Amino acid sequence: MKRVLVVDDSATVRQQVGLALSQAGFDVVEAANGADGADIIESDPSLATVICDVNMPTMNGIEMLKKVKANGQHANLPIVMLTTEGSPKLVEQAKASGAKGWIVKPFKAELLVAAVRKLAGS
Amino acid sequence: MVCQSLTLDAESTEILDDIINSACVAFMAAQGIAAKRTPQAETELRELAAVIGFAGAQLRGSLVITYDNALAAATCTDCGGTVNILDWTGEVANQLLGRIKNKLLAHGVSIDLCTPVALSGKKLESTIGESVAVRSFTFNTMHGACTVYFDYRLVEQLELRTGFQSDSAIRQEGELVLF
Repeated sequence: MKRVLVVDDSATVRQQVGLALSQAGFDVVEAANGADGADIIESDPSLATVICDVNMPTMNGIEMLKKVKANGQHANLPIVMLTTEGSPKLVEQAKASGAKGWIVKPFKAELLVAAVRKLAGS
Repeated sequence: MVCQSLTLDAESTEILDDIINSACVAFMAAQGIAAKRTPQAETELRELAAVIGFAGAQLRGSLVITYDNALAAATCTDCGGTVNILDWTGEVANQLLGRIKNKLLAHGVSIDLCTPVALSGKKLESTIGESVAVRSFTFNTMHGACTVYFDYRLVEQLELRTGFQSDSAIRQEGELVLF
């Protein structure tokens, strides 16, 4: 079973994303901010994909993305941003920092699942 | 420095009101709920509220949303059972202000969002008063009413105009793009 990390400061959003992915057959782990997300990524080499919010306390999603990608071991780990942000500038910044996708909330479960299946190689 | 004497002109205020109104209606519609604005002034004491601040080079302020548990629960689709209503209410404020942010961006106005704070109680009251810089919107839905306040201050003079050449690359709600 492929494992996906969901990083969002809203427990409800983590619940919604987790439900969509678990119903699609994925194993889901959660983090409430970018710092905890980065720690999980460093300690769990089995992760197939990461879904990550942008605006979070402690460490935001872009900061987490940059920190994780600075470690060459995670070069191939797909990280998709899930956020209310629609700014093309921010999207390009995330892309340049190594993100593999961008979703504007509220997400559509079928699109999210299809994207994760594609990125996780299911 | 925030200048208290700066105000939006009539056309800009109308556009701002339309932005906020359409963002609220669209958010509710995305949750499968029809929301219709009512001109009725807000007098109800509510069970839930969320406050989220914002700041930008041209304007800053906060958005407040108030509603009851029934509407909060109805807006939380695909939660699969138990819902943390207080957490979700904060996220509602976040997503609502996010929609407003993207609509303002289409007018060349950029704001950054803060982290929301949600509150619950039996009969929440507010100190939000009537002011030209506080735009208030009350909506009726089949699950109860909600009120949204957009309390703003201009940092520099701002004009919103129809026909502004918006950036078509702004990502829309529900959109997913893989790089």
